Amino acid sequence: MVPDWVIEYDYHQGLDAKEISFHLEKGINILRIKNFPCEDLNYEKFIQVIGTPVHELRNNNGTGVFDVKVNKKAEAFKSLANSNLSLPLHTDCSDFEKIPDGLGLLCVNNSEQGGESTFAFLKTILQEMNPLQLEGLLDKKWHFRHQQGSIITYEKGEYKIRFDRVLMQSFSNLKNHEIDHLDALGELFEKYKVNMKLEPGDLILFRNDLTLHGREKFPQGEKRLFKRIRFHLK
Amino acid sequence: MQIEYWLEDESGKMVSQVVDIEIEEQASIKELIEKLHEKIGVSMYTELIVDKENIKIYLSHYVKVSPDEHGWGGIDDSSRMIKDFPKFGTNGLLSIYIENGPGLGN
Repeated sequence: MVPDWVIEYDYHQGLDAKEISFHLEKGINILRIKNFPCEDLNYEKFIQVIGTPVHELRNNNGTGVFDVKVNKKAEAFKSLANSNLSLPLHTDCSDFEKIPDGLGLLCVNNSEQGGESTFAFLKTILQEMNPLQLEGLLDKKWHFRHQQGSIITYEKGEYKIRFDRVLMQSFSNLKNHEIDHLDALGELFEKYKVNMKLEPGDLILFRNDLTLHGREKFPQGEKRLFKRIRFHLK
Repeated sequence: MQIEYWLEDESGKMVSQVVDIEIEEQASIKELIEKLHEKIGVSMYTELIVDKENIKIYLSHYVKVSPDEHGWGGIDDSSRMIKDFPKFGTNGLLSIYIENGPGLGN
């Protein structure tokens, strides 16, 4: 049964890039493509049709693809994405001046236990938020490392979100009342959380600036591998 | 040997310095990186706060592999000898970028 917040496609039945772009532009759903080939070059080529991948130093061999898998030496992980820990709902690249508005996650292998992908849609959150809360989020400026900005912005007739609790707390000196504020916000987001367990060959695409995403914890020995591409929509 | 290293400062700007490290070029890049951190007094890892817990994350390291300003490459094999790495830093020095930014957070 496909949840009503998911639009599903099958790679073998052919993909209409225009239709995919249209749904990403609207940003209401998670798009799930079944049976997508788990190969970096083909994956990036596909993303290039609908957007411009973000090339980061830590990506695989200078491509737009980053392997999200457990990478731990002694007591430390290579990055938070390279851990087996639960990732609270967030947007990627919250510290960027212009955050990539698209995100792709291709499941090569999932964990047997845990590892569900989690989401909360800004549209749903806004419907449940009282005007005073919304005003507060539009007004207050937070530090996202070197970027300063509001958690919710209103641009060209559309609300957008930028939120990463881990980054905001780890790279800034937050005051106690700000931590309480983020705690309350985190609880609100959790209330509207939905989840999905991806299967090998599932590629999900969604709006990074309209959807919060995260994941559930999984055992460290599991061979979970997702391939991530962050991109700017065309 | 002299090497150049780059690090993000408090304002997010990448700044470079040249340091002298007592090491032979036959030693591994891993040993060099450990000595570099010791010399400049920067921990090999940072701590992130996740669900009120402190999680240790290793800083990432890249070597300049071309004269291009953004010509950094990852270190796939940390046991490789220093002499096998290209030297595209200032005055032909080996140049290492230490990533200590929020990219480690997601």
